[in-house]
Amino acid sequence: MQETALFDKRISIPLTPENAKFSLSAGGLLSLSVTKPDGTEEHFERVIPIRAFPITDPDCYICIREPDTKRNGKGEEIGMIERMADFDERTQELLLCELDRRYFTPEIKKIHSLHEKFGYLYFDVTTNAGRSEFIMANPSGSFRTLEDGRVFMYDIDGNCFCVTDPDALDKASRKKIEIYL
Amino acid sequence: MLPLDTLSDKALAALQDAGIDPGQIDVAFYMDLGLDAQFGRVYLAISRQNGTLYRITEGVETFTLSQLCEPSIDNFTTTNRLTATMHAADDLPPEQGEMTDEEFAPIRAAYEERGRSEVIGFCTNSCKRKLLAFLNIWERLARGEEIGEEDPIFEQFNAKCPKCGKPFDDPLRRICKGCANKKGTLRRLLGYFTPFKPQLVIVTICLLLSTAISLISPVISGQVLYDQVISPTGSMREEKYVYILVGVIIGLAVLSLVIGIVQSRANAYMSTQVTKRMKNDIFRAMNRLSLSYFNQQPTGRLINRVNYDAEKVRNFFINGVPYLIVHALQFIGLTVVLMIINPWLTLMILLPVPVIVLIFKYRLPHLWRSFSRAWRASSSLTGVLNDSLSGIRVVKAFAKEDKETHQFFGYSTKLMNANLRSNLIALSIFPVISLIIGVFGNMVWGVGGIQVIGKHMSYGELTTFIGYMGMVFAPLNFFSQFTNMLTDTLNSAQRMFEVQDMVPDITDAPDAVELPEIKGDIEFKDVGFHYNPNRPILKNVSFTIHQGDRIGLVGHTGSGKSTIANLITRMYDVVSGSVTIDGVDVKQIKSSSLRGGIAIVSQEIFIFRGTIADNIRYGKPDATMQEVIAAARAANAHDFIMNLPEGYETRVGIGSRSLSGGERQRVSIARALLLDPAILILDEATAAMDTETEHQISQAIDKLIEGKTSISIAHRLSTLKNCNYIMAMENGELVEMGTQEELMEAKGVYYKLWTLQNEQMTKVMEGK
Repeated sequence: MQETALFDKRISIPLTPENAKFSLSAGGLLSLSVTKPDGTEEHFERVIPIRAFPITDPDCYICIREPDTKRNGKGEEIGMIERMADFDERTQELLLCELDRRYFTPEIKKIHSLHEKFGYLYFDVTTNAGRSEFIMANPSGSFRTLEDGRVFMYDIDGNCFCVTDPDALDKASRKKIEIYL
Repeated sequence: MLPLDTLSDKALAALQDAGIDPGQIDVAFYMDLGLDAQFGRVYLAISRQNGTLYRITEGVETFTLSQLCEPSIDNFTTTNRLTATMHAADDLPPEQGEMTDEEFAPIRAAYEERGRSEVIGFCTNSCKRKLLAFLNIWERLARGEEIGEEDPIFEQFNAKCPKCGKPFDDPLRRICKGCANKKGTLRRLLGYFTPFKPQLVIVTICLLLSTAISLISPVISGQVLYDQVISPTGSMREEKYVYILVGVIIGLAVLSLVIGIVQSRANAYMSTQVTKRMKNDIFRAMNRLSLSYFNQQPTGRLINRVNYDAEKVRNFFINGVPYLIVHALQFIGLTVVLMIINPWLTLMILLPVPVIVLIFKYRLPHLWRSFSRAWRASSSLTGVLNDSLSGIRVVKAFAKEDKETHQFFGYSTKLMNANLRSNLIALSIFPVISLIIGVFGNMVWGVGGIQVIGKHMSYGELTTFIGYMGMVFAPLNFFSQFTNMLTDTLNSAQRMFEVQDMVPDITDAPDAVELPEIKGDIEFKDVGFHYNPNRPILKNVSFTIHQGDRIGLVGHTGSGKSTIANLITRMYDVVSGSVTIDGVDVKQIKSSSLRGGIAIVSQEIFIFRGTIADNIRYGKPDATMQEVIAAARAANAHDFIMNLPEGYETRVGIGSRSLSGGERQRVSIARALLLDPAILILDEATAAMDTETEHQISQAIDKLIEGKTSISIAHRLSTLKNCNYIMAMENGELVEMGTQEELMEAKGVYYKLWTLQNEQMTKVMEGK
């Protein structure tokens, strides 16, 4: 007897345009119909896409899971998309829309104000998703600068903001932030 | 309206425009993301009277509550999606009526199956806690429960600044940005110095005296010694005055030294005492806090609080405050004295002061930042070095020496660049300042020299001036940095006081009782628990364990087994339901009494610094040597201890002899044995052991659990052979409970685990 059979664990399969059809449910959720290797069809009203490499390779290795709810599944992996570009444009759009919400990381375009008080940084910024204010604790540990120059900033609630290229910010914004980078 | 969120004027207007009376709204919740994934304002509002959920944006969308069920949250990385199952208008929810729960469950499940999932809204993690509360309120209102403003669910949002009433930015660090008061913190810090009034008086007198001496000395050597004694026109041109004045100058220097020594000694005594008190206070406060606090704070940060923050405050009072007083007095005194001697020359000296202050103020922060960058580069390099050398076996096994070397070169170059940058910045500050001081110094010589020649000023006055000039410039750097020093110190002080002011989650109730002797009955009643509201760990777990029962607890990793142990010992409080020991709720038992009667042997063992004997009698410090040896013998630890050079007095722990995993485990079992607890919890006690050690430890454990209530948490079912009951956990639920035979017959989780382990063992035996 195999472990998978004992614990009814789903076996993850590679998802390709041939065996996976993504659509939008009537309620606005990402749905999937998958043809399994044995030829049987399975439909998921709601699936969750998760990036394996959200920072360096966001469009490849996308794991598709069932949601972890009482009725709709146990959060197990249904399969993995190796390259999103293999799918048609509409599917890519659907997946990206869902992924963008999952990895909501507003890109900072302008820093209106930034001041430090009692070890906290208070930001007032304009991002590509609108204007926002956030608070960062522990400034030394809340900035993550990548090799390619991108800077990720994590606030006290676990939200993430990013600056794609600090040098491309306007002079006033850059001056406010550069001491922390 | 319940006190969750309030509707904005715009939202109220939108409701009114839609013909809805805002007075009928029971609860409102603000979501900070629109359906288009942009920051926006969306309100959800529930009106029980209208049986409706409203989504308010520019307009108002209406959802009939009875058609929505199973609201749930998709926990995304940085956002949250609220969804619910929606039913057609004619698909009404079934009513239970006379049906039993068993009869009704499939009907309800079929109804839920018919619905379709609908997105209700999105929000960032900033709204997460309120989203969870909203969901809870929604479900309770749907069940017809009454919820008042005093409901415990709102307590979590009550962490508000007592002064201004605004919620704290960070509930974990309760500092109100608007009200955090530097004066208040400083006053509280000074409170530590009040027991040292005599020392404070001594320090103050010393500071005044040394300032006076430093102001007088140049006058005596310049205007008096030169102008009145050495100069041909001097009124005291006699040899004896030379001796007297040189004697006075030397005397003042010696006096200044003595005053400095007295001041330093008084200051050192006071500051070390104050630091000790601060550290003790923080450590005492930390130990009082609950385990949840330590889970949220990295150990390094906590160690910093005890060490770094108190030291920072000490440094401020040793190197900050006294010098501020000395420099300030000197600066004022100097200006007055110099003005009296020669106002024009004084203005000339003061001319570069603002320039130097500005340079310090605006350029020095760049230097500190570059130092901080260099420090980070240096710590990255240390990290790489540490990784490569600690993992050298792996590096060599994978033949990655070149890669590691290359990586080290990279980090080394980064450090070099960072240091180079720091040096370049430093070169743009200090030489410039030296130049300014040098130029103005020479100008004083020049202008002063002309004035001496023109007899407008004596040579003595000029040398006095030159002597004072250095004293004017010296404190400028200090003044420009003092604000930063003060802010840093106040931050440190604030962090220290935060720990001291924090109220632990778990405290003894005022009417908590002592249980003189715990018998060992344990009951869980509908226990729900989570560490993080997004991830429930236990869901409605109920069971009863009787005195003397030997329970085996099985289940997958993360199924909630260890949490049960933590709740029995009240390391955490249940979120719902109750845990009782001998019929008394654990919240009503004094923690010393509760934990004195329960022992845990876990996979993670901590050996404290000290002797082996100290470690064994950690829970019972008054145990006799005989008891310690008996416990070690019972734990099969005696033999290995006797093989150590200093037997039971061998020092162990960090920096001393290290024990192997099996040895440490046996010491921890001896520790538990010595306590002779009524309830014993073995949390994967033998998981990391080899078979022989496991066998030895199992024997020790068998002795330990004789006649006691025991709960053994284990992956390897073979270790549960002596248990008379097995409980199986899955996804936070207790799915099976019974004897081994009953569970094997039921063919559930336990059966599956047993079969799997048996299969694997058979394969090993067959050599497959």
